[in-house]
Amino acid sequence: MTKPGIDAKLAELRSAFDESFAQAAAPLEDAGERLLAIRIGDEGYALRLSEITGIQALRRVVPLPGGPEGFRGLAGIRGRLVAVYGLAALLGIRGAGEENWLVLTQGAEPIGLSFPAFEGFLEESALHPAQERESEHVREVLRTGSVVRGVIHLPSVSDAIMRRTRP
Amino acid sequence: MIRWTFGQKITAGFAVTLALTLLIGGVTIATLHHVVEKKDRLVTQYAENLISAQLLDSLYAKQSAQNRAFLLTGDQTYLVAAQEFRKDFTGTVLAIDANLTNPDARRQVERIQTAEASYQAGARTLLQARAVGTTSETIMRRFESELAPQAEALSREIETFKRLERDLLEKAKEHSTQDAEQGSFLVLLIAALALGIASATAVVLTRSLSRQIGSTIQHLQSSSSELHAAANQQATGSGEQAAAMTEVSTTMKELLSTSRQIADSAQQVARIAEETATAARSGDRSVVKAQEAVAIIKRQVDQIVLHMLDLGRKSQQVGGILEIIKELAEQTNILAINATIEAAGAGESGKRFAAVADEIRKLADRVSGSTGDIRMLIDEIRTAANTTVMTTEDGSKAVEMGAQQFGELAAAFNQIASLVATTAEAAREIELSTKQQSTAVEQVNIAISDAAQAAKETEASSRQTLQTSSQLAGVSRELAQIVRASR
Repeated sequence: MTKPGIDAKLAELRSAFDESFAQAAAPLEDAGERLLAIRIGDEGYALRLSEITGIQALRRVVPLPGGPEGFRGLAGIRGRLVAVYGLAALLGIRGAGEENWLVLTQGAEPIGLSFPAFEGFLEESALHPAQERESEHVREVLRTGSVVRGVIHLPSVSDAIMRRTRP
Repeated sequence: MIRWTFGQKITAGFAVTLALTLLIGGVTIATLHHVVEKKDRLVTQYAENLISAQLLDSLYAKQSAQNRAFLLTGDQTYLVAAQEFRKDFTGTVLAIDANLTNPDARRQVERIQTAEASYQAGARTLLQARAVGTTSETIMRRFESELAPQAEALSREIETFKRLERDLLEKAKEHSTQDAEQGSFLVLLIAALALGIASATAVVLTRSLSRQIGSTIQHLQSSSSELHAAANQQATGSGEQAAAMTEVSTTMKELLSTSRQIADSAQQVARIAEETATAARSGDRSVVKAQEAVAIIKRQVDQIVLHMLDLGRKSQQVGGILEIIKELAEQTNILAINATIEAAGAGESGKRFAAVADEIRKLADRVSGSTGDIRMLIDEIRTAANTTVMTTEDGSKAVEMGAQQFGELAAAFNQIASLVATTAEAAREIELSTKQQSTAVEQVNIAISDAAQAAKETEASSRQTLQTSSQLAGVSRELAQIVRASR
């Protein structure tokens, strides 16, 4: 990239930053479905923003002995202890790599779901039902260009965890 | 086997002939000497005896005559003379006896002595009778009756002796004639033998000499043929040599011209070499200046390398800062997302906050994306800096190599100057040598002219030799004919 290109980029960023304060707030209803793009192993997935209460980098997980499949341990999130489960293990994906990101599910007792990589924020309205269900937790797919992502249904994941943990 | 020379064979032939001649002469002389000696012996022995016998006869006759005269006259003078004759007679008989070798002759002489003694006894008796006065008639009768038979007996004995001696002389003559004939036969035999040996020697010598001369003639003919061929070849070669000498002389003249041109060229080379030496020294000074400039460039290049390394380090620091910015942007993004989530849970009142949070998220998103671009830029800068450093280091090495090459160039210039000086010196030596060569070539040219003249003379001499060899061949043919004719 040449120097004029860099200057133009900086000018664009500066203008966008300034304009963000000058523009009127856009109504949220206009926006489509908001999703988070993540990657587990070689596959890209999406999480509904409406199904989580937060996302953050996973600093430290304290493992506990025993526990159901996919349970990694406990982590301190915003002053609370949260049980952390590996999303790859829950989806039945092996060899996904180190999971350094964490989302918290909705509910009175949010569950921490860890995954390897956070790829970005998506705002899409066109979700399609999955033709072949690779997992019971993936019911829809999202197409962005040539990339197809399975949308993980987190309430289903939470229910499954709850079913395993409760007698 | 001893090989005799021609002269030795001739000498041997003459020696044999001379030896035979000497042998014949010796034998002849010996034979003649023998015959002469025998004849002398006959003359001295038999002829003297015969003469002595004649003398005896004479002495006896004289004695007898003197005795008779005394007897007749009584004169003592006759008696004395008769005694003298008797003394001579006795001496002659003794001389004959001393000269005799034949026993018959000796016996005959004894008989003569006996008969003479008888005669003397008878004579003495008569003489004594005459002395005492006996008459002369008596004496003469007694003389006739007593002494005359004794005188006749003595005379017969003397005659017998003479006959005997004559016979012996004849026998000796015959014997001497036989010896002379034998000597003549021996001489003839030896002469025939010498003639045969001389003939054989002549035949052998003739054959040997003919063979030797024939071989020599063959050699002579062969040699004359070879000489003829050689003379022919030499004449041809001399002609070619004369022609070649002429060509060489022409070539030497061209060589002389070329040598002069070389001398001129060498002079020009020496001058150009001096100019080149001056240029080389100037080049050496330029190279020294260039070396100094290269040293300055090297220091500047080292500075550039240091600056580029510093630029690389600072780019790395900018990268670190950019990582912080990127991390901050991502955290801002996460915070904005979380804010959006929280705003969604806040109901209607959170919508505007959600809008702001969305804007912040988008901005953070874009910042995060821009950090990627900037990261690329920084990576490009670092790559470019590294490339520049490597290139500059290569340049530095190239400059070092250039400096080294300049050093080598300076050394080369020095060497060039030295070599050019050597070249100039060599060119001067070439010029001098070429001038000397020109002089030498002129001398060689003169020598070649002389050689060409000599070749012409050799050609003439070869033709003379050719003619001589032809004459020699003719002589050898004539000699061969003579030898063949003499066989």
